[in-house]
Amino acid sequence: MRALLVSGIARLAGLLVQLLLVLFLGFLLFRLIPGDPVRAITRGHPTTPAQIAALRQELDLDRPLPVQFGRYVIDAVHGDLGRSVLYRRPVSAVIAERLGPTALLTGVGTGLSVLIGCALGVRAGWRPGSRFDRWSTASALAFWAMPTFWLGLILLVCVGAGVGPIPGLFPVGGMRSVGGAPGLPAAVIDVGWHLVLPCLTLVAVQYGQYHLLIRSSVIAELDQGYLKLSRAKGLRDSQIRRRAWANVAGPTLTLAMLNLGLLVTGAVSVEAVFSWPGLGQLTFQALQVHDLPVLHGTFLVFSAVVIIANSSADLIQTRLDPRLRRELPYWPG
Amino acid sequence: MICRSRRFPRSSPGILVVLLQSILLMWSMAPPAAADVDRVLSVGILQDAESLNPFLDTSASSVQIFRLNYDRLTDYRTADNAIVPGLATAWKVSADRKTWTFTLRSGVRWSDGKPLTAADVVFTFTTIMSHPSSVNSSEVKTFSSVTAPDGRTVVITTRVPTATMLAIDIPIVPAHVWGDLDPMAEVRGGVSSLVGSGPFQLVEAKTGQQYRLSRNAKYWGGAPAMDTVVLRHFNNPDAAAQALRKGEIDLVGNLTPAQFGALSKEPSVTINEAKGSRYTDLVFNVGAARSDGKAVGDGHPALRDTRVRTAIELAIDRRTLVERVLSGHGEVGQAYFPPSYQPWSWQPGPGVRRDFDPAAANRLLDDAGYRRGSDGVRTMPASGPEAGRRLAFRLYAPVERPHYAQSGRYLVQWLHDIGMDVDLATRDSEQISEQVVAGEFDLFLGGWLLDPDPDYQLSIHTCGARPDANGDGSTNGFVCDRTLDALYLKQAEQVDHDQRLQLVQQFQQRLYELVPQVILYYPGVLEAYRNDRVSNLSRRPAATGSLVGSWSYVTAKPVTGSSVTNGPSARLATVLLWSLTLLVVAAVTVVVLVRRRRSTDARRG
Repeated sequence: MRALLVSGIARLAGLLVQLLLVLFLGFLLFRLIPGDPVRAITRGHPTTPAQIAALRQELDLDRPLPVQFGRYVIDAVHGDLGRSVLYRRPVSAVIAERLGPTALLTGVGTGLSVLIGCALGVRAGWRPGSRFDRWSTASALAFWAMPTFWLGLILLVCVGAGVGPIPGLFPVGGMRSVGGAPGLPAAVIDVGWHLVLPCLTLVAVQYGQYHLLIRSSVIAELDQGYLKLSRAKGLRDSQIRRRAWANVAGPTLTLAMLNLGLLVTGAVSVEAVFSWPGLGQLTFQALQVHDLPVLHGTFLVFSAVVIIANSSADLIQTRLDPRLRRELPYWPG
Repeated sequence: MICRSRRFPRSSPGILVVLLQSILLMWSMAPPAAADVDRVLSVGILQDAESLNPFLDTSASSVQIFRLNYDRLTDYRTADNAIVPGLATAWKVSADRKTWTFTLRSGVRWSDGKPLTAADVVFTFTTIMSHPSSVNSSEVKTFSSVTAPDGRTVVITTRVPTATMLAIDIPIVPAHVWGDLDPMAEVRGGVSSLVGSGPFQLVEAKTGQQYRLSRNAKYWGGAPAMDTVVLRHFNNPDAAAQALRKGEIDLVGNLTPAQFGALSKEPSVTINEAKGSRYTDLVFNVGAARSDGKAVGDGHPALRDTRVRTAIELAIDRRTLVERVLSGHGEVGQAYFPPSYQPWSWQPGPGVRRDFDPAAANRLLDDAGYRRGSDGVRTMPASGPEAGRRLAFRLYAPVERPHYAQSGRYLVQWLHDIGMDVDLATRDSEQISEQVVAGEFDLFLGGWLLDPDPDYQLSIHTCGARPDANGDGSTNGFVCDRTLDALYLKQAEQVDHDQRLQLVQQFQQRLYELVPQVILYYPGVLEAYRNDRVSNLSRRPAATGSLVGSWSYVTAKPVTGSSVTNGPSARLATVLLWSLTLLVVAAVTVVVLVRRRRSTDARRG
């Protein structure tokens, strides 16, 4: 129990160090991009020198870099991420507004990818070389290899707007309709309706890796003694598969958690294609005008999600796989 | 977890069918598309409205919202961009041309019912004057005081005569709302704080998604025909074009030639090519220096020679650029402003024009002593500075719009033909601006959108626009010329329109003589709208102008008996068609599965 506590504290300390590094990296990284936020937001508008100076001061850009970094870290530790250059609102408010749509898109996308990848992967791995295996593996690879924005645009034009005999089935962008009916059920249907194409794009590109991972794990398990024993005992295929699944689930979960972090960033292109009002869109806009506070904020959120997802994958893994809990006696099967 | 379910892998096609069916069900229940709702004009915007505070933002989309939500003292007439009354019905200027007296329209009320008075105008202007970081502060830079002798009179005194007084594009905001707010912070209370007096009132703002404005039935200029204007944000111009094709939106601007061409084939879409509001130029580094005169950067010395710049202009075939790069959607460039930019535009006479003539370009360079080396590239004359240096230039093209790089590739070839070695690089426009301000460039491609008033476009060619010690400046290519500066100052202080017009034209003529840039072309602004949903949109100016803007939404009318293509009956038919297809697919899948199951069972047995 004490060992558990110590390892827990060590883990937490590691987390904090990682977050601090992220703060530092984020601050430096975005300052390496050439460009000046004040010049970016005033470009093309008539300005006076006094106006430029006042903007610099207001956005805290007139101080030396180390002072800016110090203030940034102190503010960030206090939960203040600064004020957006573009929106002139607190960064935390701007990010909070966009977190929901991104979480919805990536959450549903990852969930469906895992489900479809598992279902197809287990089946394909169970009889390697079968027709189902060949077809499903080939299509998983093909989808995985597709550039996300390209697939998104194709879906947008074909299924969103409609081509030839295919009618325009789904909205081509956004999260809500213009003339949306009032009421919660209508809103849920409306958002769900807009979610279909972005989600389909994400799932199509994502599910392949689960499919391939599960497939190879299942193939590796096929020759294990416990499966032969089960078969000898006369169990049905589906029952045997269930036993194999317990051993396959671990790596899949790690991958899913890892991806959950990466997906938040990966959704950038899907959000750009389908005008989904999420964090990806926000980052894209912030990059265009060097909105440093927003970039720091989104970088922090993205990194935090990856760090937290990885740590929780470790934790869940230990729960899921008894072999990783050293206190317990090891017993296969 | 479904994966654990015993039967799942085998029944996955079944689940797929159920999923698809539920999607179809959702579709049939989904709320109707935008245009089914009466009297809604929905416009696709490609840039998000950044802030809803008129003291902070002048992004294109925010300006559209402010123009609908608020009024200004004076306005532009839609037909010809002439100055017409706005909130002010009359104005007069004193003999010394430094005191302006505006008489306000009577009976104008804010959307919350309170009367609009001179105090609101005074509040708006003085707030901007006391907050230098406010976005419109350059428009009031010559103001010394703004007062209201009575409820309907506003007196503005300026330090110097101000020609742009009637072109001031500042939304007048209510003092009783903004008096309690920090004008430099985002509006607290969201849309409820945007009490306005304009033809539409903002009622809903969803950042990154859409902005909804409702008709002001009591608008002094007459209530608009549309009940609602919705500005819908798209990240991606292709999605916006598809949304128009499908009828999710009614109007969209800033299309690419490819999108424009595709939309022109749709019977229910009308296209519009607006002219006279943009130019694309090739800018020379004519000798970069800061506003205090200190030279900066590493521009090629040959470009300080007007003869070299003239030769480059003569080597460029603008007609080919318009035909090949813009697919014909634009006008061939020549002078600073496009001919349709009326009344300001000046055009060179037949003997002065610098049209495509590569032989003349070569002659000019030969005569100036730029001899060709063994590799065919010319070198600096032996007598001048940096003798023998090759005429090798860097050319930067912004990556944001493809026409820059496409034009750049033509330029590389044409300049090669007159003995110049050009290295084309595409860069982020932000990065190019940083390099330009530092003087670290030879040539770059850029472009501007023109305001109805030319003052700003002239100011970027004055000595004062060159960067200061901090690197802040709005110069286009470091032009600094006494004559230009004098003309600029005179026109800025010339209150008489006709006299100012002459000065502005003289400025353009002088600029043309200096050859600080080559105006390549004036790209058309490509727009399209659904003619089955909306009619009576207005162009500004009427002959050649743009349909996308507040002036157009105000006159827009719904088409009666619309929603032909996406009506309920059409929708029902498609649902039936798709259900049928799905049923067939499902039946085939079931048959195949049953047969396979039998065969595997047989093998196992």
